[in-house]
Amino acid sequence: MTTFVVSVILLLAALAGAPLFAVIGASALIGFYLAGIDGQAVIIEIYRIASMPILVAIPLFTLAGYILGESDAPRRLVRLTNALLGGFGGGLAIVALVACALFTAFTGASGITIVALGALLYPALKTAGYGDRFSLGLVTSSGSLGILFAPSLPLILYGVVAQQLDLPISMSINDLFLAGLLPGMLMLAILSAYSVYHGRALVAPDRPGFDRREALAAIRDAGWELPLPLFVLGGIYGGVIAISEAAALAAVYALVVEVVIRRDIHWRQLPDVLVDAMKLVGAILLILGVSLASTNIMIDARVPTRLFEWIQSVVDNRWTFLILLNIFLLILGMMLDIFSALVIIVPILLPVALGYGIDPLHLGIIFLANMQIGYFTPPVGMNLFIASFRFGKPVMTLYRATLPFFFLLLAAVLIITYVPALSLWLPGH
Amino acid sequence: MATEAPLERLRRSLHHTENGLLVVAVLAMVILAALQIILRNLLGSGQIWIEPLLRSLVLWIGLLGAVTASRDGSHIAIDILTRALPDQWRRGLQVAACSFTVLVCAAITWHGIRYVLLEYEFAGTAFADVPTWAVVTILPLAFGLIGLRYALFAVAFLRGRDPFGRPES
Repeated sequence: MTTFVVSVILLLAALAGAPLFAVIGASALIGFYLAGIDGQAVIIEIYRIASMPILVAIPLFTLAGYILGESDAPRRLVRLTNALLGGFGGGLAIVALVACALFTAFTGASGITIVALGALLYPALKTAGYGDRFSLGLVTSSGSLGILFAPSLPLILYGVVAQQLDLPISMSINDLFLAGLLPGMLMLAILSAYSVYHGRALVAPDRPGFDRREALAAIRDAGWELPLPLFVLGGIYGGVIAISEAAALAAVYALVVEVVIRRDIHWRQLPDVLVDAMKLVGAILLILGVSLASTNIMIDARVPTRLFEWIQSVVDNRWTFLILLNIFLLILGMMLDIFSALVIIVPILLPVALGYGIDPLHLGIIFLANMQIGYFTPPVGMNLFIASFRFGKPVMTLYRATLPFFFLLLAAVLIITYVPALSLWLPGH
Repeated sequence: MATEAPLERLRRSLHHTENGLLVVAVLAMVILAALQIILRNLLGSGQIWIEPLLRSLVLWIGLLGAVTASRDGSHIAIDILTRALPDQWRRGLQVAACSFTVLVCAAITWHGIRYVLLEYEFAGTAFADVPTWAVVTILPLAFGLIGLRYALFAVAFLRGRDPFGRPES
């Protein structure tokens, strides 16, 4: 009874707009109190943030991403990809997809891609003859494309949360990066195919042919930024460098290139960029910290076990479970941002999924792929509002514009869900 | 208003101190992380104290970042309900939500202070010669500052102002 009343109050607080860290923190405080444990346990749990070496990667990658986002690198990235791919049918659209995926992998899907890259790509697409609706839809739905690629923060965070759970199966963050590779490629391929199909019917007024001189100039222009994704992605996927080392290298490299060499960011601007980046890091680590405490109580109370027993009495096979999981995650993705969803839901969901024989790597990819389309699922996907604000269009226009992309990526999510090999083949699980 | 000037000054200097601490901590983290890689590759082994120092810096940076995020109310929250409501209703709900946040922060701050005192008595070391209580101090400090911000938000909403601003309208 007490638990029920408390849950209702916490739910109301969350719906009233209280920050989620406070809601989760309250659940931890009350949980410890009801279990007769001193409230200092909450502090001890949050302090565990300082005992996980992998977390160093989060501020470092975020810093690198924000510095790149504030610099002129997005413009140079678009110029380069445009010079290399822009001449082909549907080329510019593929450019947009690849650039967005790469950028999101580095910055996390927090709307930065739409604000920094979308603003460049949207007018470019329209100039190349793509329709307004197609261009808007592409730019908006690409805002979350790429979270399945290293070194995306949601992937790292899933690994961190999963590692707290004492799973019977071991998995490293590197395994997760490998697991995301093919599913991420599948999404890119499906959207690229659609773009080529769409671009084929299009009579481009002034589609430029391949210009060797422009291509070389663009490569030279982006010469300083080019090595960054190469050594980070190459190093991580090749297993050459540890993730926290890759993060440190990326941060130092981005700082040196954009502040010292290219001077896109004046050193006096640097503190503002740093503080902005750390606001996001702070928001993520804070909910991670308090959720370490609440998760602990939940596991002590055997919530996941009891939930599994209850679900198993209703759903008897894995395929039905997966369908329900897809529906549940789609709704969740509309209401919660990816980071909160990860720290709140994964600790409950993962043990249940394991009970149905689903590999934790596969579950992670299903989870993130679902959350990715949740970002632009009408009516309340967050990126729809960001795009509406950024491009000055009514939200209704964006609902219509993103619909074909939504169904295509939904198909991709279903394939990812029901073909586990896609996620598990590369890491060899 | 003359009475608000000292408060405003206090707010500004707090703002600057938080930013300064955060910037120093981030730059230190970047430099130390890079140094660690260089040492490991040149000498074959890094300095043992760098690793735990980096982990402690992550805690400090995370919490200081959380404090700066609370200044403009940009903590992650569910806003599908409040976004759809008329302003009057929304402000009322925000007073409740902010007060709730203040309560939670106050409780965590209180437990944090108790824990710091306990660690002080226990006199353990986190790494090198740095005592654990010094590292843990950021917890009550950060939650105290976050709670303070939400208390100010609650008052502002109560007075009919909107400290968060609404970008859409």
